[in-house]
Amino acid sequence: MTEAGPSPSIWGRLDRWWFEPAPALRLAVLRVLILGYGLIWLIGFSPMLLGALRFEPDRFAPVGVVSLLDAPLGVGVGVALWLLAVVSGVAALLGWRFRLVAPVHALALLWVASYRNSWGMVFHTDNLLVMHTLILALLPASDAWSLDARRGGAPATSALDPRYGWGPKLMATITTIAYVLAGVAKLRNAGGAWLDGGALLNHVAWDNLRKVELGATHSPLGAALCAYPAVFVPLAWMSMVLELGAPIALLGRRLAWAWTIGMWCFHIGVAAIMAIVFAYPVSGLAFAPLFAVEVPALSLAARARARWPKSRLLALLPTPAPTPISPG
Amino acid sequence: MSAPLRRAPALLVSALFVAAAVWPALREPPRDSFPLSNYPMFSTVRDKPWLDVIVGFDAEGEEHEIRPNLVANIEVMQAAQTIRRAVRARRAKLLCARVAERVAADGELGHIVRLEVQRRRFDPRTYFLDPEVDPDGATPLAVRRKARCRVPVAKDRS
Repeated sequence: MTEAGPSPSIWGRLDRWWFEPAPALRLAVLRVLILGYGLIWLIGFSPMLLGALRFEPDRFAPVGVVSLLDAPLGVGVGVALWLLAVVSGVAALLGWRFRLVAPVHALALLWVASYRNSWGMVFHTDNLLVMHTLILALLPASDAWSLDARRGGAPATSALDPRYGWGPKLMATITTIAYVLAGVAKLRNAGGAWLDGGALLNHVAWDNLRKVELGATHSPLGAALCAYPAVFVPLAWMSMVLELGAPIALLGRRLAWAWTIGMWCFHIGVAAIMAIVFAYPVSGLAFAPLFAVEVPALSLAARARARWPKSRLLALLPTPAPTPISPG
Repeated sequence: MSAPLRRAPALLVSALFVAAAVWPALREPPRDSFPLSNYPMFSTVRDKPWLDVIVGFDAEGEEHEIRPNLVANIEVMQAAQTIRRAVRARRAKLLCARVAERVAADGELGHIVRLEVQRRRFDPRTYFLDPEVDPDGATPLAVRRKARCRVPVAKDRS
């Protein structure tokens, strides 16, 4: 029988939990996933992002960092900032001079996304993307699978280090806070009307009605369900449990899986009955910091190597880092 | 350097981000902004809300839909907010004139001769009911005209 040592204090436990050691590749994979999504967003949404530069000045209603402005930017400056976000995003994704270009990219993305929201309509689809990018920019996310790592010459090891663990934990915490706040807002504003399904029914009906009247695509499924109010009672409760229960995802990988699957289904449901797509969570990337994302990345890379052993593109894939040699 | 000191920057950054994320919900009243938000979407209770719209009419007086991209851009919510804010700020006439210019320049909308900015009140709970159950379910409960304007005759339309 072994003698148990003194149990760690609550601070010690919190420290071990927040600074959970992780490999450098975890942050690198998050860098590629999140910045890759951000670049697709910047380019895919460019008609809307750049189109906003031509809105009439009297519609300008700045939010966030854009509140620093009294009047809209000139078109040239706006296009230059968008270009800066794209170019710095490519460099940061490749891990080229990451410490310098990642903060530039994060701030440029913050500006471009805030500017899009500064015309009277604050969208809630891109908040987590911007927050995750801002956090990522402060982390050592180019220590593996990057041009910086290649230039440095020092091979990354698979050693687990707390330096690579707290960033994903912070990103995951920000994700869960967003959902908790959404749940709190529903209870605060709608209260009992939310829990009896009435507020949700009204929202689904109102949102689809608005789309019909304004000439946009609505959800026929959502419209049809409006005739069955009882359906909205379990849906309202499920959304509340998932949103207020978000912090459980931080307590362990199994709980994280269970919550993530539930939340993902919630977003698919929103898309199905309201025709509103929260693309970042639906893509799974909002939840990626909860998981050991380097494992599937290495597995996919190994499969690609086995299938196309002579391809030059293999040089771009992540490689399993050597295990550190322990002294003695 | 001791572990607590080494971890101080990470703890500081973490605390700042968490505090910033929670802050919008702690304000009184809670405040929506970007990227820091209290995420109020889908939380307000709407009984029989008003919807602000822009509608077109042809020479026979028949009503036609005006696409969101003629009001703001292809994002329907952006268009909806643009009309709503214009009505609230008493700039509906100005918005009507701007949209009319875009309608005039659109080759497919040559049949539209005038526009109206309207406030329409609906009952969301009856809107999608089967017309056999409620024949008037989708009919506005009330309509208020906030502005009207003629579509200018573009050179290539005449």
